[in-house]
Amino acid sequence: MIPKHMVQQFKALFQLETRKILWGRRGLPTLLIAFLPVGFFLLVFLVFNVISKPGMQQSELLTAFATIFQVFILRSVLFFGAVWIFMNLFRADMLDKSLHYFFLSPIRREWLVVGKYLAGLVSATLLFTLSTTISILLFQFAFSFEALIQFFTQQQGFLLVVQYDLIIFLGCLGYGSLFLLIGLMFRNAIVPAVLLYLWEWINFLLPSFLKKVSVIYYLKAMAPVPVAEGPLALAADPISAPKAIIGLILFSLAMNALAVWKIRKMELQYGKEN
Amino acid sequence: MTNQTIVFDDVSKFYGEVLGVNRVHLEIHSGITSLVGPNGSGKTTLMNLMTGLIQPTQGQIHILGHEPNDAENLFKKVAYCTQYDSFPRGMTGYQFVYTFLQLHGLTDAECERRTKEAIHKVGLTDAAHRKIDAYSKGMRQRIKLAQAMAHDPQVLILDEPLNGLDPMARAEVIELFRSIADQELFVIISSHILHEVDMISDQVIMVNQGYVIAEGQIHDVRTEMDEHPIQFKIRCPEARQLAMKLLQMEHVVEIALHPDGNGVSLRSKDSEVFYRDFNALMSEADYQVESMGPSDEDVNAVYEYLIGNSGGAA
Repeated sequence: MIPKHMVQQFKALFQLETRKILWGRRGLPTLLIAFLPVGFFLLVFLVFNVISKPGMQQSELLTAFATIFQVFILRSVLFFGAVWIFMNLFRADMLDKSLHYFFLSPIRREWLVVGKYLAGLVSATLLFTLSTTISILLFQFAFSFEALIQFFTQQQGFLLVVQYDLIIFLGCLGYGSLFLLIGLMFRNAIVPAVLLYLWEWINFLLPSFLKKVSVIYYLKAMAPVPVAEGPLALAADPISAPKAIIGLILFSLAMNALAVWKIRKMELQYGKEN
Repeated sequence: MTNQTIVFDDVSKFYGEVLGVNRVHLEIHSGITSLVGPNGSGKTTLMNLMTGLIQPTQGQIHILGHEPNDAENLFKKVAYCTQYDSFPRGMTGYQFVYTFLQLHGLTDAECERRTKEAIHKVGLTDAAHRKIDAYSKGMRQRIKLAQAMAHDPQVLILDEPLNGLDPMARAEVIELFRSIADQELFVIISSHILHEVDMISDQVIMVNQGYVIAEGQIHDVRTEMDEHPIQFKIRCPEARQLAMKLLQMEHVVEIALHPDGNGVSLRSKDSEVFYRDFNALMSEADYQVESMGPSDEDVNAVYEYLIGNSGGAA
């Protein structure tokens, strides 16, 4: 049983962090990144009406969305959204020189990591699943209103939405824990973030054993609609969805454990001391 | 070690190869204790060590029986108002105090009550709901104090707390510290403004280049400095005759008439004996002494004797 005062502490920390992520100076970029796909689908399909080609099949439509999801939403939008949200959980407080207020509160540092991470996870999951769900609906609707109805009545549309949102959640879980740690470890976290971005992008070119050293490998394993990676792609060992989920959970636990270790050792010196 | 003191046991801190503080042994009791030293002397390092913001390279620290890395228990009793003039962005003074009180695990009602009380104590009630970004330097300093004091800590650690305050606010804040210290609580202040420290401290810890060079009550520290005889200043119209008498005292090593001829300055190797002999002299002869007292028994003089002029303390 968790003591009442700890629940109160967690509640306060969670509310404070959620406010910082969703509102104010950090909130606007978060919302812009999260809803980029919605803007993209609105612009491309509703304004320019690009895909409304007569005779296009639902299966083609699903494959088209799956490709956009993997290439654009998962690899770029979610990736950079997680970079922004999770790296800033501690980094922004360090830059603002306000992290010491947390360190000087009667709250264990590991509890700080957990509270901030969960605030980031819940906020990111809410934003990116909402954005993905709207994107799916817009995509179907852009094709035709009938396609949208058909998507839910004949194509198990609800299940597809849930599957995509689950991938988004697991993406937030994995990338989030990784970027939280990077934000704690590097003074300039942009360089490692860009390197990781490239690493995730070239995943399809990597030999099988290296593919496993990435988050995208496990996320792709859960894709409801497979996407061809082109002639240059090297074959990967298939992994089942349950194993991928367990793998990502273990990965995020390991990253959080490292973050706890790092923050317990952390010395706070923003600058000149007397 | 007791649970009612702050103890540094052979504490050293190195930043890489740069010395922060070295071989510090201290026992701090309740009351107002001032850490005195020039910029870069190690005052902030000692405070940061006490509160776990940095870890000692060697040695141990105990604050009321708690180790600095035991944040959960330590910061129920301890508050540290750092020198950083920075705040979480976009908060009002009220939100700032309230939010960090919530991290103490208090109920919302309790947080509200304590926030109002703390803000009232530092005289910011009218400005409580304004953004801190719009506060003056003095107001920011005061809202930091409110945040630090809001949970009624037993130990209040303050790094240069009077910086940026106008004279009126300084007097009020000093009064506040005094009232806290009078409740048998600990107030630990760092300052490089020595005359302020002199006014408010029960004891001082003098730091220079990472070493504690003296500690205790100013009078006691001064008395122990044998190599610097204590200077006295006496104002008296019969200064010349008085000087002749004083010169006959064995412990008086130096004497000089004031330029206006109405006083003398002297140095004595033994202040206790000097007081005794001076009283005896006054009872024997009828001198019109207007004032008499030590003129180099303040923090400023002691500090200057200890480190010379190199410290640069103001």
